[in-house]
Amino acid sequence: MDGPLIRLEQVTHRYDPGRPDQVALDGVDLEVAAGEFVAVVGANGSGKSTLAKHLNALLLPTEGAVRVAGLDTRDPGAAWEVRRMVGMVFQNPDNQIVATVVEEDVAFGPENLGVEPSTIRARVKEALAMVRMSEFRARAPHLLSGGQKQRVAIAGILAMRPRCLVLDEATSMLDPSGRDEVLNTIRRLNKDEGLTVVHITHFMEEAGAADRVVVMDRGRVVLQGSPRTVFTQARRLERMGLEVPPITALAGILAAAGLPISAASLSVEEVVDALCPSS
Amino acid sequence: MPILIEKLEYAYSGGAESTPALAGIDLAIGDGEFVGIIGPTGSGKSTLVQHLNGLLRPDRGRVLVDGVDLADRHADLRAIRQKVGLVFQYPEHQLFEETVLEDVAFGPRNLAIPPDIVQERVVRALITVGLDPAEIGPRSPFALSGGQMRRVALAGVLAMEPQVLVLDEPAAGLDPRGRRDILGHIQRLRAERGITVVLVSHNMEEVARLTDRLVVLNAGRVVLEGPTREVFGQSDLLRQNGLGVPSITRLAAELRRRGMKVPADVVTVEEAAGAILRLWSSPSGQARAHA
Ligand SMILES: Nc1ncnc2c1ncn2[C@@H]1O[C@H](COP(=O)(O)OP(=O)(O)OP(=O)(O)O)[C@@H](O)[C@H]1O
Ligand SMILES: [Mg+2]
Repeated sequence: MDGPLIRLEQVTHRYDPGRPDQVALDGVDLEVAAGEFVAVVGANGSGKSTLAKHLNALLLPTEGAVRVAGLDTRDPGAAWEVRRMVGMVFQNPDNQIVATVVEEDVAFGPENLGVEPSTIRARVKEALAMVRMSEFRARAPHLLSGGQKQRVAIAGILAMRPRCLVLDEATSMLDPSGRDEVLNTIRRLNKDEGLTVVHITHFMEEAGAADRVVVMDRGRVVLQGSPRTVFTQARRLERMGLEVPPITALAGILAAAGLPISAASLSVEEVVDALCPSS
Repeated sequence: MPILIEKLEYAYSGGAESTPALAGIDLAIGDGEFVGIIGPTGSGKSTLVQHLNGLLRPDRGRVLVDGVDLADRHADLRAIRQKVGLVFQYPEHQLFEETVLEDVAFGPRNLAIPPDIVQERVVRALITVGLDPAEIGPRSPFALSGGQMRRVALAGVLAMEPQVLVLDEPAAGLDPRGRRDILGHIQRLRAERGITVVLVSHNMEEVARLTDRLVVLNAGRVVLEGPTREVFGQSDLLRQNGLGVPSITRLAAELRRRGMKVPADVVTVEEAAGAILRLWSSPSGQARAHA
C-alpha cells in the first residue's frame, strides 16, 4: 500500500459535547509511515492517550478523520479490522492479562478473531519467541515481573498479526530493568519485523530511541522531528512541562561552555567519546 | 513520630509460592528524615510501606510508630492513619467521590476541622500538585487523564497534612515538570515543617537528588543501607541486586575509566557539569583529554 499507514486529518475530540470549551484534541494532523518508530511526549492532559485511542477506533473523532491503511475508523464495518491492525498496550501490567496461563493469554486475541486452532498454536509459539518469553509459556502470569507481563501483553497483540503497536506509557510502572526489557523488545520488533511502533512516554531517554518524536501540548502537535532536533529545543520543551534527557542536558551545558561536544548528544557513550577521544 | 521496624515478616496468603514478601526487616526511621527505598520488582517495597500505617499487619515482628505497636489489636489505627499519609502505587484506586474537590476534601473532613479550613487545605493541595482548583475542581476524577488522576490522589493525602508522608512510586505517569515540582514541594514541606518522608521509587535520578538515606531491598530483605551517595558509589553491588545507577553516575564511571578524574559519587547534571568544567579548565585535564 502506498501512503502512510495511519493518517489523522484535522482531528478534534471533545469528550463532553455539553462542554465545547474542553477540547482534548484540537485539529491534529499527523501521519505515521509503515515501519516507523514514533515517540509521543507531552505534559499530563496534553492529549496523548486521547490520540492513541483514535488510532484503533477506541475513540472516534468529533471532527476530522482517522484512516488506518486507508480504512476510515468511523466506518462501523472497519472497526474490527482496524483493531486487529493496531494493537494497544497500556500502563498497568496487572490489568492486561486475562488468562491464568501465559500461552492461553496470548491465544485470547486470535481466538476472538476466529482463527483456526492449529494456526493459533503456531502463532502463539511465534509471538512468545518474538518477545523472548517462550520458556514462560506454561507459567501463571501473576507470578511474572512487570516487564515480563508487558512482554506477554505485546505477544498477545503480535498473535493477531498487527501492522502497528501503540504503547500508552507501557513502561511507566516498571523498574529500570523492566523498562529496558520492553524497550528492547519493541526496538527489535520494529527493526527486525518492520512493525510500526507508536510509543507514548514521559521518559525522554526512551523517546531518544525513536525515529521521530512528536510533542503534544494542549491537544495539538506543536513540534516534531528527530530526537536530536527536538531535544536541542530544551527551553521550549521546559515551557511545556517537559525536559531533555539528563545526558543531553549535561551536553548542552558543556557545549555552551565551549567544550568540543554536540549539544544534541543522546548517549553516555557519545559524551565520553567527545570528552576523551580514544585515538 | 519515629518509626521502628523489628524482624518484620509477612507472606501473602493464597499464593502458590510460599516465599515470603518480607523475610525479616529491621529498620529505624527518625523524625524529619527523607529516606528512599529502592529494589527490583517484587522485592517487597510496597508490602513494607503498607505496614507503616497498618494497612497490612505483620505475621511476625513489630512495627512501632511513635511507640504504638501496630500489630496490637487495641492500637488506634485511625489516629495512626491521620499522622502517616500513604500514597499508593496505583493512586487512582484511591479516588471515589463525584468531583475532584469532594475527593480531596474527604480526608481532612474526617479530621473534624472547620469546613473553611478544609476548603483552604483542598485549594492549597490542588495548587501544590499543579491543578487549577477552578478548572479541575468541579470535574469528575474519572474524566481526567492518567497523570491528572494521580495528582488528585496525591492532593488528597497532602490535604491531610500528615507528619509522615509515605510515597509509593508517586511520580509514575507524571510529566517531567510535575515530577520535579511536586517532589520539590514535598522536600520544602519537610524543610519547613520537619515532616518525615519515605519515598519508594524506581527513578534513580530522583532518589539521588532528594533522599539522605537509601534502603535497598531484595527478596524481602534489606541488602544495603546507608547515606544515598555512598550507596550509589557501590554500582557493582546495585547491579548485582538488579538495579541501575543514574545515567550521570554511569557517565562519571565511564569518564574515570578513560582517565578523567570525575568524582565517583556525582549524581546530578549540575554536579557533573561542575566537575567536568573544573577538570577541563585545569591544564592537566585538557592536556590529558587531547593527548
Ligand atoms: N474520560 C474522559 N472524560 C472527559 N475528559 C477526559 C477524559 N479523559 C481525558 N479527558 C481530558 O482530555 C484531555 C486530554 O487527556 P489525555 O488523557 O488524552 O491526556 P494525556 O496526554 O494522555 O495525559 P497523561 O500524561 O496524564 O496520561 C485532558 O484535559 C483530560 O482532562
Ligand atoms: Mg495518558
